[in-house]
Amino acid sequence: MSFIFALIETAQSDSDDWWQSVRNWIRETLGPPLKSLHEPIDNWLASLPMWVAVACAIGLFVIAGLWVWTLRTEFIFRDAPDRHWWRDLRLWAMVVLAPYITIYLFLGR
Amino acid sequence: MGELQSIDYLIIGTYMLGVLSIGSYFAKYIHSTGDFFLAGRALPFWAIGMSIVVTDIGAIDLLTGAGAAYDRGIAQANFDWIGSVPALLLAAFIFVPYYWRAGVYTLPEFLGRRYNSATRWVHALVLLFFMLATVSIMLWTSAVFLRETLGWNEITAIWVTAAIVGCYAISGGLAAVVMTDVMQLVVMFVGTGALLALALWEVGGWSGLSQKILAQPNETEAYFQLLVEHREGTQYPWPGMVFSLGIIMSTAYFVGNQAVMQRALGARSEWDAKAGMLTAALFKLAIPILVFLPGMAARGLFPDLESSVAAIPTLIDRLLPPGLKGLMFAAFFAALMSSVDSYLNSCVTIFTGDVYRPLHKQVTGRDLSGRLGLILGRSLTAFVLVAAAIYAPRFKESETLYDVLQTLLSMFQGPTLAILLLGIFWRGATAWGGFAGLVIGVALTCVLNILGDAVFISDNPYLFVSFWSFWVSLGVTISISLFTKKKTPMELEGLVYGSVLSQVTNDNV
Repeated sequence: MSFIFALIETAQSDSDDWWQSVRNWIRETLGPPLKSLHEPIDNWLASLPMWVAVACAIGLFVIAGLWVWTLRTEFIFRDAPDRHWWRDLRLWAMVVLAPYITIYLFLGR
Repeated sequence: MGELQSIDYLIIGTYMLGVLSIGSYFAKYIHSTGDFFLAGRALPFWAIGMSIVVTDIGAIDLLTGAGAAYDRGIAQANFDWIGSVPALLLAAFIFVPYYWRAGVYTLPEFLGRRYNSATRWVHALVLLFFMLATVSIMLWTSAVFLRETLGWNEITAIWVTAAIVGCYAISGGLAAVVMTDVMQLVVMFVGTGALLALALWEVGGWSGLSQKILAQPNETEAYFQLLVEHREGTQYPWPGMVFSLGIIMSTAYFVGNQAVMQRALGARSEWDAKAGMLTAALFKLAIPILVFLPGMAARGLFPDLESSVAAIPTLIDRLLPPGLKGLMFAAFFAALMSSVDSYLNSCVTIFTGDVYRPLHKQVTGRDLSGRLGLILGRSLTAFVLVAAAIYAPRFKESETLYDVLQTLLSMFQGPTLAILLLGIFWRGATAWGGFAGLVIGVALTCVLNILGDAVFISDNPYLFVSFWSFWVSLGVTISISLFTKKKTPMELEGLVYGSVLSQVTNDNV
């Protein structure tokens, strides 16, 4: 039995070595050219002031909020039990988005 | 190492009994595969919303998420704020109606109808691998928690957790899972709320917390910033958070994660499905406050912990009095069980619907009967749980389980979202275009994850891996589609944007 376990351990160790050499090959072959492509993007992003980051984050919420108002009323109320204003899911979306916009405005940076 | 008192055991026992009772109660309503996998399509919006949140926030967040907040600060909150809300809105108003109208059990099934069986199979297998690994990670997290707090043996902890979860997940199906989730959300909020209040009291409130942390060597104001500069060594640079997590990863997670989407598909109406998503988005606001803020408070109180994973167990051990300790244990088990049971149910749904059913039909020429499907579903739940429990100790060597989970997610999120978007919005996307986009995209994520810091500025590059794999998959799908055979308008009926909207208009006329 111990012979079988020793065999499994050897096989596992060999496959670990093989996997490590594949990893090294990928990193050495593809790493430098891809790094040279990604580095200018990294440098440009690093040069941007932090207000841009806050504006992008809040912009994402605002765009989502504006987009829901472009949806048809029939689509919003489809299958709803009735058409009372509180079942308008566009209003629900506004209630959901408001606190998030406030948080990113104050804690963004 | 703390000891639990009788009152703690009483609270934990009452909670466990409550969970098992709800599970058993809903078991009597299970008569078919539809009941088991989609709760008979009877779920109200509030249950869907609460269940989605508690499925998403598991023991991993409570332990390793809070641990990451201990190390990296408030930026961790992005995963539940910008990394959830825009995506939940998109899911509510675009993706849920499509899946709903297509009347499918699983997302691979939807991809199979829109593209081809090969795409369905590849996506199903990738999802199955991810879910099995996730359940294993969750069981291991439970073992770590019980080891840190009670000194339990890890293997015993894994099997005890697996046995308890198995009891109601096997008997009750999705309805039991969702209804216990509702109870578990309440327990989780009360338990973590108590821990937060005591931790903040001890550290001197928000101002005391910031003073204590900023006084620590090498700590800066960035610890209290949601968005962090894009520079070498930063774990969560803002472009990754906004453009990758906020747009690609989160959208793919909420629309491509079977455990999340299955709740919406079990809704009693399309309106409830959409409203459930929005309810989840509202509840998400509280998660970083209840889960990650205690991790930050632990940094202020106990800055020299050997491992950040010990942040929450240390707070429980040092701050909570008897009774509240039992409540926090119940909250932890709530977080753990709600996620494990959901992933189990979804894992089995995918195996039955996307792997076994097509094979059964091909071999026997008949569709899978409801009764056989039900027996298969229950047996597989037990099998997956046992397999995950056996595999769980392998995660012992992983340092940050939160990053392991995000890396696993990044391996299919970008490609899945790319082919989903093209499949819904572009009639020209062809069967083999979608297949190539998925396969090449997943292969690319493997290579990019291996490259890691050789290309990207972060040691854990999953934010960038998802971003680039999305764009490459998009490009591959479009390129291959331009040269392969398109589906006819009849075949695309009810599957692409235009045909779904025309259904709404016709119904109202």
